[in-house]
Amino acid sequence: MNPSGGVLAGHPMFAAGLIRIGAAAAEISAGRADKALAHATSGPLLQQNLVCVLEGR
Amino acid sequence: MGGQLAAVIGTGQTHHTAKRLDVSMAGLCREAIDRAMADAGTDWADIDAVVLGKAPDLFEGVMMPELFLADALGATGKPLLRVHTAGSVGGSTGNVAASLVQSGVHRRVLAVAFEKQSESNAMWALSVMPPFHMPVGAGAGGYFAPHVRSYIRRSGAPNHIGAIVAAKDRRNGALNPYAHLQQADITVESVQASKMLWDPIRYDETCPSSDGAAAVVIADEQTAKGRPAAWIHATAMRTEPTTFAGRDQVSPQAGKDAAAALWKQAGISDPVSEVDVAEIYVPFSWFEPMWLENLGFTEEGQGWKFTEAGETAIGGRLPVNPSGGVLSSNPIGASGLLRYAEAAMQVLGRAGDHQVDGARVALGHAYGGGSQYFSLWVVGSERPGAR
Repeated sequence: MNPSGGVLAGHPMFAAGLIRIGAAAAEISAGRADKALAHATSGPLLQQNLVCVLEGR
Repeated sequence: MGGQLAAVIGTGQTHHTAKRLDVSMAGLCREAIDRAMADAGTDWADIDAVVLGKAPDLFEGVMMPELFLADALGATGKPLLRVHTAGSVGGSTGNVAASLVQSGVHRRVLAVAFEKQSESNAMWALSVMPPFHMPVGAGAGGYFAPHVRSYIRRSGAPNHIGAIVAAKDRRNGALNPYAHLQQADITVESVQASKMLWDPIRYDETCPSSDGAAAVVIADEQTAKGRPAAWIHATAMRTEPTTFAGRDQVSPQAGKDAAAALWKQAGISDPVSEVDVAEIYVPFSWFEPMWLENLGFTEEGQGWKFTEAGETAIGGRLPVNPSGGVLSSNPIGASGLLRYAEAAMQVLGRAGDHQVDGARVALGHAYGGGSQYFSLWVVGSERPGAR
């Protein structure tokens, strides 16, 4: 989980979700993963959530 | 356009006025939503996703209002997307909602847009100095007045054209029970006698500051077939920077490109003959002839003659803003979606006293920022390709 270091290592707030998707894609592109999950969340109570699954083919 | 057909099956709007002290932002949105849902005959279980549009958060002073509005918008447990492209945002909201259906991602999407200008001060919000830019310090009117002056100089239009537009749109607004301004007795002469605000724009040639909301329900073909529907024939959006060397701010390239893409997608080769009614974003009167040219309804420099000849009045060759338009109601974030909803109402035959007889193809238009965002759609009473 979070080989990039995740949000705890860097948090440009409104880009942080897109960075998760990019980091997941990078793992697949680099051949380190076949399938990866990315998650983004927002709101004072984190009430908006997005989950996506990427797969290398 | 995406692969799937999409259609508007219901529209709703609030009574627009300067201060809606009787409702919160949530109540304002819900008023439009409830009317759209009733018009469409849909219930919450039928809605797959919600798209919310509004202009800058400074207009109410509430950051990211979509978060606290989620429940009132019926978005709990559903995808909720916020859209923001300045004054064009209502149009962009319609286009984004349409794309979610056209792409096959969702079957029924609720698009909502609002502005509650009484919560803050848009003039102030538009006058905050952005870094590395010349300060305008005079709100939208001060920004656009030089563009209008430039149009007058380039086209040789006589000074009364703006007053013709203002009188026409305000009288149309008096036919629309939801319009903010109800001025059935306004005349070209009374507009010309009103106070000069930002030369050459007079007080009566300026949009009001409104509280209001609009909503539309967009559905897939399976839902829309066999029921009244405004079929979406084309959508387009184009963008350009606020400033760059050689920029034409009177007739921006982004607007021309958006229109060209729209007409091509809709299969329209002669817009002025093939479009029956247009709801065009005209916050200051002179933008009617300016956008008529930018959209390709007339040749460059000829828009004012079309207006002067009365062709944009109800009963003219191309009625423009039979609803009264932005000059009669301007809840900024909602104004674009109101144009889109009014276009749909026309082809659905549901425009009441401002209905254009026999309207089958209608344009909805919005622009925003420093004339740099353009959002357009064409809706029709028949499916695309059936004309």
